Amino acid sequence: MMRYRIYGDRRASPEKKRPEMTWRDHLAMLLHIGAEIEHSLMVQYLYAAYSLGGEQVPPEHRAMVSRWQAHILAVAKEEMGHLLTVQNVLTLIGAPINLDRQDLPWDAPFYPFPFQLERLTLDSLACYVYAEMPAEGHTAIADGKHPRAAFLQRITKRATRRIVGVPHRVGELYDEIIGLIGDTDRIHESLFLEHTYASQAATDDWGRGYQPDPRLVDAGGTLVKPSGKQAGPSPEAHVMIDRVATRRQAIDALTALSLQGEAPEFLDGNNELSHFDRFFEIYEQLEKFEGADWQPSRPVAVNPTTLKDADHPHHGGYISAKHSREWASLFNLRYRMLLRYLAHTFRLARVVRPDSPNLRAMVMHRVFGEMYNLKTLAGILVRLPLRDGHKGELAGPPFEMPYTLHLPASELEVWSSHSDLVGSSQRICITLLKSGAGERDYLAALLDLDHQARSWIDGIVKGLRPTERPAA
Amino acid sequence: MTIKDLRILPPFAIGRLGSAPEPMDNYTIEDDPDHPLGFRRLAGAPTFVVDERSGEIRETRDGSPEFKQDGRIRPVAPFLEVFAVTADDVLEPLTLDLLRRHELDETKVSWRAVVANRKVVRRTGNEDDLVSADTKWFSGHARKRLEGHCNNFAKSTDFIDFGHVRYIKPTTQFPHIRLRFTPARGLIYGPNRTDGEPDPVIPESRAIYGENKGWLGFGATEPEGFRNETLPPSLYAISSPAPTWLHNNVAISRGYLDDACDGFVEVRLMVAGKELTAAARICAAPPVVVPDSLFVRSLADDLDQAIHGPGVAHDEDDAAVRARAEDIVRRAYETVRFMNVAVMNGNSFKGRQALLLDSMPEEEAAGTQRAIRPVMAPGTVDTLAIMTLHEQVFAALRGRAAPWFVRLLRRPDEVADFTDRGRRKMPALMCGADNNYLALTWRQIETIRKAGEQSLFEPAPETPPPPDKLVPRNLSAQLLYKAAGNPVSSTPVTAVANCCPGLEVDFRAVWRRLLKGIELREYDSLVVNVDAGYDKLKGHRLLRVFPPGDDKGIPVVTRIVGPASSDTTAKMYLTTDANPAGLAPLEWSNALAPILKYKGSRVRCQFTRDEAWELEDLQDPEEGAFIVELEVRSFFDDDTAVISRALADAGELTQGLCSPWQNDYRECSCYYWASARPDYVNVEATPSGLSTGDNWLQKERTGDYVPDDYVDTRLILYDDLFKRWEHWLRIQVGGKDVPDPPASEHKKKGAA
Repeated sequence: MMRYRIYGDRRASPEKKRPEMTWRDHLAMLLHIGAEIEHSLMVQYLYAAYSLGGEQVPPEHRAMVSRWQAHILAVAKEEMGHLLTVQNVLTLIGAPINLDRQDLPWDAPFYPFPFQLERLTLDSLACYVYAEMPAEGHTAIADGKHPRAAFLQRITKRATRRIVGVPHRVGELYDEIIGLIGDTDRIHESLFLEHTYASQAATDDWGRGYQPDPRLVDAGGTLVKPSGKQAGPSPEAHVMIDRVATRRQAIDALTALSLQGEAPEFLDGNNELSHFDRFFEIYEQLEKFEGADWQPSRPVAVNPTTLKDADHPHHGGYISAKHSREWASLFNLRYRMLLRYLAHTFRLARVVRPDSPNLRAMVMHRVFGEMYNLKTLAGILVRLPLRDGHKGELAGPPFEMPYTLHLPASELEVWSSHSDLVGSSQRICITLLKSGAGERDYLAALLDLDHQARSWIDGIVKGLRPTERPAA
Repeated sequence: MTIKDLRILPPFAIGRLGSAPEPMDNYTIEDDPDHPLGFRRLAGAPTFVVDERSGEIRETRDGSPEFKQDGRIRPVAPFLEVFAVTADDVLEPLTLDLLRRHELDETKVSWRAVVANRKVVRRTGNEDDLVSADTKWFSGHARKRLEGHCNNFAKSTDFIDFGHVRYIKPTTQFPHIRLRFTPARGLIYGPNRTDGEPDPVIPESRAIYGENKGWLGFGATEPEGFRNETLPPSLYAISSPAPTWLHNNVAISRGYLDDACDGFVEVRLMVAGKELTAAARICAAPPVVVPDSLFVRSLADDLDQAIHGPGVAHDEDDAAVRARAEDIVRRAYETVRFMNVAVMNGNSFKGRQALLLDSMPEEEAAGTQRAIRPVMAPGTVDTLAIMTLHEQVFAALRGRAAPWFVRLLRRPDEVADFTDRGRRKMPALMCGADNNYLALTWRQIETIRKAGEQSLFEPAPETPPPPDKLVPRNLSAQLLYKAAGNPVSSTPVTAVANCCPGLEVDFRAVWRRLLKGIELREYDSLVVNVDAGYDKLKGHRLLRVFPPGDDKGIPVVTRIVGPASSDTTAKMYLTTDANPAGLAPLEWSNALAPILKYKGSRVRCQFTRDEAWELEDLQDPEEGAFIVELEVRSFFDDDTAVISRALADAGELTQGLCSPWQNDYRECSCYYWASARPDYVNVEATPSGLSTGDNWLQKERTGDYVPDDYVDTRLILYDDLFKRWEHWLRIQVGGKDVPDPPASEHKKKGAA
């Protein structure tokens, strides 16, 4: 557990709850918002990371830009951990999980800044730094005593100049949630469903080795101090996914999550980089090149979309280049598949035994497979044109949300819908291959994978119990 | 142009044992464009038909990848071609025409083959147990049998038939100067017993080893003093109940030998009064039972690192680096698909404790005397799912995604990290040459890291990587060269590299004499022999080597770490009474690769202050450690891709392997070489979404996997293999058993 000073006044505010809601309901709503914010941030960070690179980056700066991308991807991975931890807390209080994402409610309390998929620039970076910044008034920076105070104020000014309305820190929401969970009068002990622990997402399953190196202790359990100069903080991601069975565990998990976002390393000298640390470092370095004749990121569209709708708020990002739009549709489809598999793992977690290979884990592996697909497809889309005949602006991965993430009621219907989506992917891949698209090796491999997936799903469907099938 | 020098290519050719009269046709393995993630396709390739009478190549026909004939396995009999160095950068085939231009003909070419089987010598330490064959120089085109004689055979006329070599008679149609090596039939030889008790396996005609010469009954008495044990220990057919670890580690030899061997073929030619010679290595190895899959780390990978070093040069072609990275990932899932991952993970099986079944976690528990722990969460490990995940990674690489998983690859110096974080690194669940968790070579890891490093910035190249040019200085191209008519199974890409002890060769043996003056044990840093003047080093252990300018040094041992008992975020050194310092040797191929470029130079080497013949003698290895400078030998013979004879003489590359090799297919588990000695076959998905299949060693294919406890009678046992290995080692294609082809016309007619 990282040791930090406690930030913020965490008492629940009665005036913020709607009268028709219970406190548990209000808590569930806040957690829902938390999940959506984590999801939104993760996607925006991914977009920014994927935008980095391109031939225009001078060779002498490429190692630095690669490091920036690694930092931002680390943050995105950690946000995924946050998202899963929030789902665990929702599960603990018996509320439904939420994998949805609201792109436009930014004027509601807590949303840090308007959702915007855009290339990494100083302006967008300023928003990220601000969103992850520790609470004003609780840091030595804000009171001007710290040498970095002026710099941070500059960043704040750039971020707030960009945002119309009141920007928020992500930590504000967690302060509210933690305060409410800790309120024993308003959230009764009986609301915490300890038995859900076993079915929550676990680091062991989802962490994938993104944990810090274990500390060395001697036979008596005493920490062995490393010889020589201590290494600086590790740039690797530390994906924290906490399962929670009690009030205290929920508070600790959300506190850790919040601090991973905002606690500055240079303040407390701990050996892990927070999201704030990472964005701050990139900002420091990028600012030196302001006005230079090169950009670290490609000219990808702002809020790319496959929807041709003049009334659509993201219309300016419409991918009119046909090929690019087909790839973008494939991206959206795999994104949808990822979210559905993820939702399915939570449902299956309640019915499988974790001590032997089980279907839930198999679906979990598919979530990771889709992550790899999104990574690959994003790499393709940031090189494709937004509009035919216009080389200047590039497309980018749209991350468009499907019309619903709700799973059908029966297992048969869930699996059938998985199969449908795989079939849709196959059709898009075949269309792309027939139209002479590039990346033929990848499309052929994806088709092969989808073919295997459908066979696998078909086998599962056939094996479902008769009671899980619709009556003849 | 003038013939300045000669080369034999390939410099390392693998023959494969089998008793069918007709050698294996030429075949290749290719990607299936319709199923790029599926099993590679076996494709017949042009096959030479050698006229038995004249020794000429009579014709070329289309090859057919049929691995058995009348229930017998077809041997792989590789050709070795002679090339001439005619200019600094020119390597051209030595042909009748080139000979004529030098006023020579094919009768002026002479050959010699020297092979040996030192397996018994390795165990007994008695040089009279050496079985060796030498054809002496010859120029004719008749078969030259490789007769393996031994001082300890019952009669001086007794020999082990190691197969034969043949100087192929060149013709106008096939003018290239070449030799063919045909290995033996995979027979087992044994003791010439006079006690009236017939051996259940050895027929009288092969009972040739002298009864009281020491091999029969070896191990019955405790050794006096130090015994230079192999790793794994014993590795020979025993009469005491097998395997040894289930029976108090008692290993009493049955006195068996096999007809595997390794050694050299040489060619000689006088040109303008100057004698030119060249050599190549050959070995006879078990058959490839999974011909359409390749192991994640092959002998070719290790030799590639020996040539290029552990890094990837900055000017290496990006497309070539990426292609290599994709190939590694592909071989990873080709390996995983043959592992029952749940069992290998240390899961219990249908209620049976994992401690009773063989796996890396079980080995780790036994070695460290700690409780067994599954490596990954038990619920997450199903073979088909893990394989699909690997395939997904491969697909991403094909889509030119930069490899993101380099940090998840186990570094070669992390092989004894038994924390969950360490064990879960990749390759997972498999054993390396040092008997700890398998790591790729440094160069493989660096290849993956570098692949796509520039893809963030540069557009991906559209053209495939340029082929390697076959020139005198391109040792890689020479090593991978496939002579005409040779199937891919004769090349190092089909040989495993995590040699503990290995299948084709025990590559650990090559490194023992890399430092002049001492001989290290093949699997750890104990100095077992010394040259004159280095007596003070005998029995000491090498700890570290310091390349010039490097003050930190390269460790050749590491400490075993594992999870702290009561703190899930902590780790601690793991020690036992037998290993109080908790030391684990690091495999030579990775540990010493960085010093190969200092050949001919001296490097500082750190040794333990005291002798430490057993690890239990070593409390604090660093205390009083001292430095000696030693010269690094050349890994390859001058300007060639032939592993130096000074490093390993005839018979030494195979001496650490099982005797007979058939013993290893029963005794070593699949977590060594899953795609070479598979575990999980006929795998299919069930309606539960999980996989089901057979254990490759199951006698009866039921679709119900039988886990291996070494004594289950549903599985093939030792004597089954000794007597009928060609029947029981079932060839796998497409992950499934290949049925035996119908009886040939030859057999149907009942020909003699």
